[in-house]
Amino acid sequence: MINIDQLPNRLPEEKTKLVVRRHWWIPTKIIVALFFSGLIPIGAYFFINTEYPILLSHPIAAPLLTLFTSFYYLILWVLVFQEVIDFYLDTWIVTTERVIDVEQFGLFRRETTECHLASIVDVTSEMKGVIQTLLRYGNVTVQTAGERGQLVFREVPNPDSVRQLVLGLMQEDRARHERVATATPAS
Amino acid sequence: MTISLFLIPYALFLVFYFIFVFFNIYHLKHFAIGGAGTTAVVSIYVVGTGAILFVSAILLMEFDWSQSIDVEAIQQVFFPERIISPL
Repeated sequence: MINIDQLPNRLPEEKTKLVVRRHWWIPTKIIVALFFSGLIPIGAYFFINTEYPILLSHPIAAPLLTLFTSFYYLILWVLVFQEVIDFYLDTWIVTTERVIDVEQFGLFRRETTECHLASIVDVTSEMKGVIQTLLRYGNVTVQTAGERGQLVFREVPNPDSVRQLVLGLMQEDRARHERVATATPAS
Repeated sequence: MTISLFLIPYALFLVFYFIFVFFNIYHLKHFAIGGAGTTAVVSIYVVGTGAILFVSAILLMEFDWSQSIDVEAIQQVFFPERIISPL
């Protein structure tokens, strides 16, 4: 597991200021849909019990239906957890020195990108549509001068606060670098 | 041919299912930010999977898997009118 106080390549004075994941609504809406999908076999049971009751005691049909139901619920359970894991592993970390973007895509693709606060040129936040505005979540785009171009905090809660935090840390970082530069004049 | 034949695709599915579960837990253990949340997610995942398999096993054990596959018996359930009764 990743220890938030011992990030890889941590600088001596570096402190973690924010760890953010996507808004809770993103996995919830899919989990709710899957929950209702879980009610389908129960409905099917009552339908079969009314229309074809012989199937539930049939020596071939009954075990087949049970196998299929088990198969169905296992698939549903794994889909729920795939969603939870995807939500849980997509993390954005803001420290006093850098911004780190960790994203998991499916089972075997994982991307980690980081940029130093000094290489950030612009930070924008965006909330689109009724649901994002009501629940206050959206994207924060961190434009960098590096090769990567930009980091996007996708569907994070309170994007305006995240943007302000990153901008504030950028100013502090710049001031710190200027102080160091004036304290050690070029010889 | 007995109905235990149906257990073969189910067993194959379970093999793939466990590989999938293993990789999901591996990702959580190695890449998630440590804390009670991660432990809780892994525990719920394992307990939920165990519960579904336990209930499935109990229900599946009630059936007689040595029953032979009788096509006529299946037809009788779904299409009783197609069975021509001897005069």
